[in-house]
Amino acid sequence: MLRFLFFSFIFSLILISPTNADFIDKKTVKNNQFIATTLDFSQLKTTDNSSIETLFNIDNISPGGYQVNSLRIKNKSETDMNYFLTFGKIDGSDDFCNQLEINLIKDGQSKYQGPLVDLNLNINANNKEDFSDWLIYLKLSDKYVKSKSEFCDFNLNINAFSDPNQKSGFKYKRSILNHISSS
Amino acid sequence: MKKFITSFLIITLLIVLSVGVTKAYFTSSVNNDNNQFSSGTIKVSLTDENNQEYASPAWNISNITPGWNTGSNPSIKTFKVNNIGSLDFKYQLTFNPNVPSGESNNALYKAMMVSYKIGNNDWIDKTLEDLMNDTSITGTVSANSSSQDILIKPYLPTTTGNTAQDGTFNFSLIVKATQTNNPTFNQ
Repeated sequence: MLRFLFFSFIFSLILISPTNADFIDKKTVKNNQFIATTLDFSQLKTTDNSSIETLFNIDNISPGGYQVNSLRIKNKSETDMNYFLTFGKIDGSDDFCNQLEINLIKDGQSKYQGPLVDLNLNINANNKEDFSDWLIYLKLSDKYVKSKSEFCDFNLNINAFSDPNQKSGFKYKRSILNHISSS
Repeated sequence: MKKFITSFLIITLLIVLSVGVTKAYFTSSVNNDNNQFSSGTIKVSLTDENNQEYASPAWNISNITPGWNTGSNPSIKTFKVNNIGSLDFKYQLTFNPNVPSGESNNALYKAMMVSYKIGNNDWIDKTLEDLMNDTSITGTVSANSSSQDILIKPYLPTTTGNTAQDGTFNFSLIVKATQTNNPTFNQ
């Protein structure tokens, strides 16, 4: 009997609880979107557009010796892109790396010629699907005096930025491996 | 037995006749006709500065980079909250994500900022994430064709980091209005 009274009381409470019947109206503006851009590029062979992982792989280079390679950098972003070509040492002799010289040629014009270790070249790839074809001369200085077996392993870094001043913003980086040795 | 029944029927008839006498009081009445109770209406519309209903969507912006809409001539949209009902109302305007936050790149809406200005008040800056759930953009509009202007400028700060790259934020802009004395509607 007591149980019956208890459940009857609870049921009564539920029945008499106040309903919320306020007036409400709503309007919706649908399908809005914000999409951030993507920085993306690929480094390719100029012969068949296949990907390049290693650009220079030279053993037994002599003073004054050089090699020429080509490189295509293709902007796959939806936006303009600034990229920097820089040297990044991985391993080897600083003295030997300092004796390497590079000449970067684009559209028949030399964009940088000088010590590899000082490379810091700013390029503006200002169109979607724009690509840059580079001829790259890598040379061991004539003045290099071989005293022992030395090598220089380095990355050719491609750093892309949405902000031309590189202070902030989106960025994207890829690296191409290189190996040069004197023996 | 027959006499008894006859007597009963006669007595019953006499009682009915005695009770059924007419009553002839003086009475008078006046009718107050055509009374009615009618409820008020809450009706809201959202229009642009030219009083045109907002065609969906208000924003469809792609290819956003840090610094977007931060220049000297930014894109600012006007939203007029119009009261076209018969009751004063209070309202909330929210950026409602179309997908659960865990299913999208939430770095973008965490990084994006929204400047807004309600009526003649000062500009206020909040993150887009702030405006998804809380009751920041609110106001009260009196009945019968009054309105309140809200100016909104979304932007991506120049300091935005790389995590927001390739982010997408799909959303609905929702204005919800209710009677001013609705206690369950927070402002």
